[in-house]
Amino acid sequence: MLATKELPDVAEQQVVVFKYGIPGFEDVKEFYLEDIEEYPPFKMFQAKEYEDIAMIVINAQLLSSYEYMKIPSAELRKLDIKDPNNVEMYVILRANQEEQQFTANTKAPIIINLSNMRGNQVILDSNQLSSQNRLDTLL
Amino acid sequence: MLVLTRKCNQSIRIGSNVVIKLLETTSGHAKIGIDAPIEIPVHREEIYEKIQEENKASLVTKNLKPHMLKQLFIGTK
Repeated sequence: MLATKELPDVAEQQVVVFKYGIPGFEDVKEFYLEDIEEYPPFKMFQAKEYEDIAMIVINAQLLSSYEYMKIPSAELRKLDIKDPNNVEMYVILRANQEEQQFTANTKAPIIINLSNMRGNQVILDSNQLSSQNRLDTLL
Repeated sequence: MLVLTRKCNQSIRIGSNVVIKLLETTSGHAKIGIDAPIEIPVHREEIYEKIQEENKASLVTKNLKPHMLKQLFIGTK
């Protein structure tokens, strides 16, 4: 389940379009979220066309640093977000094999406007946030 | 790299709709204003590079140990 596998057919309505890709993968424009069955609330953030491009994410609302993760109004406008309740925010997790733990990139969450299925990875401007927070300190 | 000298409050226009203005300089620091269309992402280069590296390092590898996720999952309960 954890290894990337052959990609299933994804319903078009589940695909989120990232107009500029995300940093490091600027040419990858389409992603979708997939449940990791045994391990909710973690999800796989999977590139639609590239099976090797996948990351584990968690809903930012479940993390203690969520209160600092305010989306700047310019970022809301970029995704044409009119109703903030219709937005989901996910934090990318990075596995550190040696230390047997995960870090969470709260500095640069993925935001998705559910009303038009457009997404963006935003870089937030708070010194309470970090690209390498130990996940166990945030849960 | 194109190199231009600008005085404070002078600008550089890139294409038809990006303007970069030198606002202030103090001992080795330059304050720069940028006017660009909203669809053009603007980032501090070193922060952007850090997020690029972080994203690449976050790719799920085939040897990610399932028990790590299990620990995580237990931690969220």
